[in-house]
Amino acid sequence: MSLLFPLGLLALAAWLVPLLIHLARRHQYAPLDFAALRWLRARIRPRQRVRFDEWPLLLVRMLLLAALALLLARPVLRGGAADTHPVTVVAPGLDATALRGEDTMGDWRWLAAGFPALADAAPVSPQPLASLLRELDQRLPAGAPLTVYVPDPMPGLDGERPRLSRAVTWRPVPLAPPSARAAAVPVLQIGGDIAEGEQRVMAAIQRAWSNQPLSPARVAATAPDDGQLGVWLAAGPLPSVWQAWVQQGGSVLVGPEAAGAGWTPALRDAQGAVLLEYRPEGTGRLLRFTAALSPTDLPALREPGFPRQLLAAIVAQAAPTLAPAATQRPLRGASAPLPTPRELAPWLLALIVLLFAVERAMATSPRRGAGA
Amino acid sequence: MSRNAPIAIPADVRSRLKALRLLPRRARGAHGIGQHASRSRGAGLEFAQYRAYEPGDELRQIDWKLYARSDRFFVRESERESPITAWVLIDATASAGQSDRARPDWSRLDHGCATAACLVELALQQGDRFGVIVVNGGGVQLVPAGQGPRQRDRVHLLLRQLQASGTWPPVTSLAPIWERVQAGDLLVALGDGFDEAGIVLLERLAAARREVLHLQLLTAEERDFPFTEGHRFRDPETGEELLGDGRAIREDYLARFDVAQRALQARLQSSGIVHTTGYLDQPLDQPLRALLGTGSGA
Repeated sequence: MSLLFPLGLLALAAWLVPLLIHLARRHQYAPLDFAALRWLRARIRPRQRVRFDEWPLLLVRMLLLAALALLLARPVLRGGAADTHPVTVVAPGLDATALRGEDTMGDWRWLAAGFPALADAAPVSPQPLASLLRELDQRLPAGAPLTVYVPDPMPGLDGERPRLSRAVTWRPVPLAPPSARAAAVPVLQIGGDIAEGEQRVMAAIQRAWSNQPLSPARVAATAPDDGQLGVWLAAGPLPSVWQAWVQQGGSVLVGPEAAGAGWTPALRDAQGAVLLEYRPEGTGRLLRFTAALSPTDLPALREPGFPRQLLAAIVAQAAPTLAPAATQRPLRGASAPLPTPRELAPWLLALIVLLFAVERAMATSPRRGAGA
Repeated sequence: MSRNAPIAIPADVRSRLKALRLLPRRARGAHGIGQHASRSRGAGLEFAQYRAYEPGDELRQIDWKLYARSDRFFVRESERESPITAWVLIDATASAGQSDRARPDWSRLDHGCATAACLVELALQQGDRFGVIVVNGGGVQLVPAGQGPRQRDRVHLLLRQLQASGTWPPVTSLAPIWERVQAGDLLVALGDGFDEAGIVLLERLAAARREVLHLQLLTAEERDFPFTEGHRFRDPETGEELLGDGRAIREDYLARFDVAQRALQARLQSSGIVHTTGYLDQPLDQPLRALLGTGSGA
């Protein structure tokens, strides 16, 4: 047994209250009729000894306070027999009833947040399967066998292969993945006036990315569509409509004359000179070329790899999301899950109620009034 | 005992009461037929004396056997038995409300009323006239002397509504006692005997040829002083209070109280008052036996 909040035992200072009340009350004597008073000679004061009458009542009251203090200190009980029945989890998306088959007795759950029972509807959980596996491993008591059904190839991976504390029966189930997602290549959308040389460079970049011609330039009042990469190389500041679009998550390429601080290098040439800088604006960003878009000012334009480098700088490479399930079999070696301590609060509450009832019964019993 | 409840004499006490007689030493009933030796002699069971025959005496009163022995006429005289008047004087001042902690519902006044009921029962059995006088802070309440079961009911009616209150009243308000209690009457005083004025009254009554018996009623606490802790003792009549540790003052109290009791006894004895002490934890009839069983020269 241990205490989660040992400072709660400071509440034991409340013991002083019944003790002081008890001792203070003793100094008041109830008047006692005594007709033969004239033969009494009391030059001797009553002795003020520390004496406890009605000590059972005092004891019950102090026990009650002790139980309350203990409740504040939140005692938990460690140890005890852990429940190590085998557990089977099924990743959402698999055909649970088919996997379960005739086994109606075992503990089958979804591999989802909260680990609901398999009888419930298949949940939709945003957490990666690997993270859920780690959580489940720490939740189950050490020694409970674990069987995991995952789709093959397996989605929901994160930075590290799951490392669990127990051996897991790994059951990949072949399942066609949802359609492979191609990395989206942005479409350049030029806005405002643009010099002919710059337009040629832009068209070449667009052609190198997706082998498509440039779409016609838009006026300042029309923002680019979602998925497009805005280009504003005209003189003058970015129009307000475009700025609002950037705030909402768009990206706009601007010329070197764009002012402002807080630019961070995004692309460098072979010599290390900065070619492209970016600055976050709301949820979007501004991308600024460090020089005018001409081969003389920006020699890197002449290099054949420039469009690819620019694309890599602008569009982050998507991380792989699928892997063959056989390669993701969890590793061993994680620290064993801590045994879950049992909260004693309900039992303490019952004890407090019982003590309170006893205290009231003792304090209000007619026998006490007669004896006092 | 709660007030306004009928005064019940326990069965065992009632059966023992039958052995008791309310017999005066001095008082002689004057009129009527009763159980008490009378100053008027005549026909009766109890032999009194022989006297010489006088003309006019009934012939059947002559003791013929004595005539055969002495050859003279003697008349055998007996004492006539006649009723007396018995009074019960109850001290119902505030100190009569005191009771023992062991039996908080049985006060000195309750005990006194029950004792008075016993005495009334005795007087009723003997065919005596009886009355009750109650003295408390309000003065004197009394039931005039009378005879018979109706009189007993009147007495019980008064006893049932008694409340202990006040201190001993001044002498002027005690005049009804002197009006009612006549010379030769029997008077049993029930009380704690702590009131000096009450003792003086008894002494005067005794000096004025009333047959006075004093039954002092004490609580067991006054006798034993069983207090072991600190207490605030309060005199119910004066309201005076005294804080004392029971264990420490017990010896001194018992000694002083004993001296005071002896002094009271000697004082009453010298006045010709029969004195007995009864305690609240004793049966009702125990002090009555001591009071009535001896000293009654019939």
